Amino acid sequence: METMPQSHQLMLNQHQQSATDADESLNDFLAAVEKRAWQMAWLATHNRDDALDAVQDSMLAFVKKYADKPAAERRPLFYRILSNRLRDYGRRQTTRKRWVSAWFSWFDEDQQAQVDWEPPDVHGELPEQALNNQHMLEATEALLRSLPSRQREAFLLREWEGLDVARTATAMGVTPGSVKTHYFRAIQKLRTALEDFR
Amino acid sequence: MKTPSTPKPASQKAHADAGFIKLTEQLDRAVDELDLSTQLALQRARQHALRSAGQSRSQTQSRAWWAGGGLATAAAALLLAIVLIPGSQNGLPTNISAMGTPTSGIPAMGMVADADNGASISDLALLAEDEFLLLDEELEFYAWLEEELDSTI
Repeated sequence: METMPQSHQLMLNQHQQSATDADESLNDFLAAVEKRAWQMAWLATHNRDDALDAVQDSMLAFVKKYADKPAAERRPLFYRILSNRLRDYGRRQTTRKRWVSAWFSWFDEDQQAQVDWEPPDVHGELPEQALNNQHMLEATEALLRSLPSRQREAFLLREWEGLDVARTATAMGVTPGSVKTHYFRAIQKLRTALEDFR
Repeated sequence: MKTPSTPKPASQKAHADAGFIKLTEQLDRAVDELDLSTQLALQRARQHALRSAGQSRSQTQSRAWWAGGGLATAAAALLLAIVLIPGSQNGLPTNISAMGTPTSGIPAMGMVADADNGASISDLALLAEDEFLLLDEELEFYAWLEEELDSTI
């Protein structure tokens, strides 16, 4: 059997090494964003499977399109894809709800919500403490969910994810001015709501 | 109609901004305490995405190899054609002798004519047909007519 020349073997090894490095870098990046991305998707969909689908689709699209992008540009681009997925999801849900409510006026959303609900994962906390924490988390989620999707997105990307205005604009696919407007409206509403909590 | 919002005192604003920190802390806690099944599902999704990235990369490489190989083969075939086929060097038709053109002064054409003898015989048969003779007469007539017109002008 013919053996590969040493120079070819060296090139092949170098290529495999660079591919492995790229995979490791991508793996690290996706591992760093996946949980937060899921949380954002969960806030937008309120459905575990749909949130997972949105994150998985975003990961697939990201590695196909932007795998070669430098690390600094990755985060806004990933959230851009996720944002588009969630907006498509929102549109589909609106259409579906319109049809469902038109054909089945007896459709009960409370019943549906009961099916989706899962008991909280308490991680060894005392039941009372877990209940308090769970209530706090549910209140937080309800508060954020009460915002319009674009305002929630602007708030989460700016305040939680720590992106600046320009990167948030890239992630949301809007102008920086539009980001400022959405963010300002979001914090106005949240301030009012938090005052009511007091 | 919207009522104008009254400006809030600074202490209330500060309290609300501290509330934002609490909100984000709650979200961090939610992420830290994500249930195991969701974590595993996310891990699987990530691995699936990375695998598909690897596959698309290897497909791109193999496509590049095939394109390169095809190009090299085509270039080699072209080179071979130029070296081995003498007539193609001049870019002349190989059956030019059959058109009644004298080839004695051009040795390469004579060689081509010899090499393509079979094709020349069939071309001669075509030239001997009545239709071709009629066409030849018509061509002579049009040439004469053109000369006549030129001389009258």
